[in-house]
Amino acid sequence: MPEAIVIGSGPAGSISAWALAQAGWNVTVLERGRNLRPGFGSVPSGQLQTKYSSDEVKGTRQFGFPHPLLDPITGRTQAEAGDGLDRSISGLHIQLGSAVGGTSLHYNAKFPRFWKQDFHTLSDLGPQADAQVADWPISYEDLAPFYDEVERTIGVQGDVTKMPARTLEQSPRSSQFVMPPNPTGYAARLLAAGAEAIGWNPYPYPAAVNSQPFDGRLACNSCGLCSGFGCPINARGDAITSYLNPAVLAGRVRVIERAAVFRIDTSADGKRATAVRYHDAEGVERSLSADKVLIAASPIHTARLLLLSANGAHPTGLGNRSDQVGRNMMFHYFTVGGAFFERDVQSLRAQSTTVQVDDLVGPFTGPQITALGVPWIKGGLVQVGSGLPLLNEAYFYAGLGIPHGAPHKAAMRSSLARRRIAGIQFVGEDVPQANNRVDLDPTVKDWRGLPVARVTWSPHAHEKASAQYTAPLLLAWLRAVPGSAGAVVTPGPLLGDNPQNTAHHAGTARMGSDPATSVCDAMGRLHDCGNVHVVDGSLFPTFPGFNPTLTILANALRIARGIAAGA
Amino acid sequence: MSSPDAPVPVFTRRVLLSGSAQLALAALVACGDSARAPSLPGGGPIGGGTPTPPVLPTTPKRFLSDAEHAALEAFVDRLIPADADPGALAGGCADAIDYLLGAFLTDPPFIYAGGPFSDRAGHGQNQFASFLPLDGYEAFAWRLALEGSQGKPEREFNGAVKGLQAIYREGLAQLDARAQGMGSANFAALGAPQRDVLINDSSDALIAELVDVAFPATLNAFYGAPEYGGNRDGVGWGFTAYEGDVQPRGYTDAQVVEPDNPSPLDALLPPSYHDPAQRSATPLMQRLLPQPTRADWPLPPQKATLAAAPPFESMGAMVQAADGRLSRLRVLMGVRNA
Repeated sequence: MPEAIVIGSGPAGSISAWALAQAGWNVTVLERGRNLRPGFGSVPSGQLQTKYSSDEVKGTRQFGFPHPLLDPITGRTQAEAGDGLDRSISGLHIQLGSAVGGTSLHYNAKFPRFWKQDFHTLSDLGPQADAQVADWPISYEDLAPFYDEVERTIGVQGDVTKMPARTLEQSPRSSQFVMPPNPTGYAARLLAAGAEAIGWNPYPYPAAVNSQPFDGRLACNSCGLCSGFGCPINARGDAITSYLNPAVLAGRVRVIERAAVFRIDTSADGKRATAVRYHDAEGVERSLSADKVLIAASPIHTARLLLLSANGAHPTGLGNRSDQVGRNMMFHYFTVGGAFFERDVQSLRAQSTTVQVDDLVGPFTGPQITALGVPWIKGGLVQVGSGLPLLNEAYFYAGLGIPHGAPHKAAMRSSLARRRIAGIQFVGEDVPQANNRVDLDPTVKDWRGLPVARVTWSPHAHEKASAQYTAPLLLAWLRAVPGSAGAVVTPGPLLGDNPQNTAHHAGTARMGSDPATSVCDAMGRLHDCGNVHVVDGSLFPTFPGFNPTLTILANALRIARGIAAGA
Repeated sequence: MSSPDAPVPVFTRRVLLSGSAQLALAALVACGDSARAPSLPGGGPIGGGTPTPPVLPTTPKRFLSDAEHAALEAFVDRLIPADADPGALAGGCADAIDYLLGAFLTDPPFIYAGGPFSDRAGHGQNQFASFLPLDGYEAFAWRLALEGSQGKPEREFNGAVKGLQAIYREGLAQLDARAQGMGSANFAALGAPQRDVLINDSSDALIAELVDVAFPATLNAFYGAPEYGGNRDGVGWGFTAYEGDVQPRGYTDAQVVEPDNPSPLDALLPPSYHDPAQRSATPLMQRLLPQPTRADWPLPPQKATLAAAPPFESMGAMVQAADGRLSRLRVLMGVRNA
């Protein structure tokens, strides 16, 4: 039987292991985090337990995440790097989760597809100065059957009859969703009325959340504590429920938790990986070998692992002949906004988030855009109906500078940022830049003594122009919301050059057909090391403004099926 | 104040489930007949046979001395003061902070409340009260965060780390020393205005360091789950009209789609996208559990808006990355430079 090692058990790693096992492979999944779903690997997914709960304090204490003292990531802006500063921040500022199932344990499961146009941005629109905009080596049509399969197996709600014509033209679907939409939150209905008033087209957000019992799991009851929380009633489809747990139950996949991979060894000529080395839970160094090695550690850690694996045949990092490993680190940018009310609009009381708007996806061109200093901009979708739980509200006021004591209490009682707000989040595309990169920090170590990842990042003029162009349009919408007493939008890239705290990561091992400008081929295989495939979001050549997990899953499934077929 | 080492008081939710609701949930847990039927996490398999294990509440212990604890009480009392509604003192926030500092004095450590359910929204057991065991990684991380590196080589891979225990001990001692300089026996003996002067003295490094960690810790305690010890009787959830953890009851479709207090403008809104017929055909748990009658929680009249919108989903990530430090949160929010 062929054997594979998969590094990372998040969505990309889990679905790869599932697909390879279906094809008869034996798979070992190495996960640096621990298992938080009791019953994993021994009971059907409908009977999995969970250590998560509707408990905000757990979030403040990094539950299910790396610890900032043990596994920090460091960061700096491009300007700081230019000034010779090694880092200006260290900790969890741009970390993803680390647990069996990865960040999908506590994601929001919003499942839009990318659009056809996103796969050939460079051909359609041309380059941006000081950016590395590229076409994908695959098309929407290449991904479409895998989108279909993922939506069917993880369980996605939505309603094709309510989707705007342009959305369907750009992301055509072969069938209706497997589940109808959940109830729309009241705050989202208020915002949808405003959107319709200015001629936009709100519609039910596709989401991997059960609106009815599905695959042995319960239906969502709209508690509202989704993002950042594990679902206490197992109503959300994720990497474990839909792929990794069934795969382990079927017998060909084993998962080793607290296995922190730090190096991939190769043959002397560098063309084949010969061993994957990791520290186990006790800190003992161990090694495994297999026919194929699949890297699914998420963009920052996939790049770090490739860089840590430098050897004689790969002197600057495994697969790094192009010098592109770690470059093109992309984070979506957010513009957040809200309509304020004099009454409680219950914005947290719904599955978050129930409504989507695509009217700012773009692209936008013309004199209005060139006046902002760039040839074109791409925007992204808008998440409609966001809310803020109580403890986050308290931190928000404290972070803004409202002091402790009576002012704090007055702010909490008035509750402008929770009870009186109906919120939106605009998800903006950021363009790839060579100087937005992951490298190894020269000084800071993890608790095993290895260099940590350092992320140098600043927004491009494109993101600033995009934020500047879209912010007034978002504000106009919020002002059209019936009964609102005011509105505000906060465009991230215009506030500072640090990456915003987001779980949307991409780039660092881009796929392409030219080994001189890309790290992997269209099958995720390192151009220079034939049995190592990257399968996660690191592969994305660009980062369209849509929640990425569905596309990460579909692309990993495409690659795993290709590997099983002999790629 | 509670006595040292007393179990964390857990308030009874203002919404008490009737006996019939408890029966309905028990029926849901017990009546299934298929091994593949959905089951409620924490509730045992629907198929029966495996009884839910009893919940053993974790009893926390204090780390600080009585004098230090008294100073901490006098301190949190000013961070979230009582007014017409109770504040951090009545909530027990000093206890909650003390319990965290002494997390490893109990087993499992008093770090992460259990789950998935409390008994506040339809579940028969308070699973939050039984804290989660840590694995080796988590225990090492939290010992480092609480105790500091203490000169141990295996803890100093990035240099020395000052632990939270030292930050609190030194900060509270400094408050007492400064109070004595003002002619008082100690910080706790000062009146509220004098305590405010000391707490707001950002030129005093030890006090500033204390406030930097203690204000976020007080927020955690006061607005977090009562099982952590600082939201006694739900005082942090009362004046803020927060419904707390609502699982497994959740909300009915009508509660999601319609406001509790309707507005004439509601006629202008598009309908919900869900199909009531399709939803009602499904055996949702929420249909088995009676819904609470929601009290009317009026908001004070205020038209003003904020200068910034909250970053909603990213807020949780920023709070997490702040790692309990207000100065760090401000950097992450872009309010202050690193």
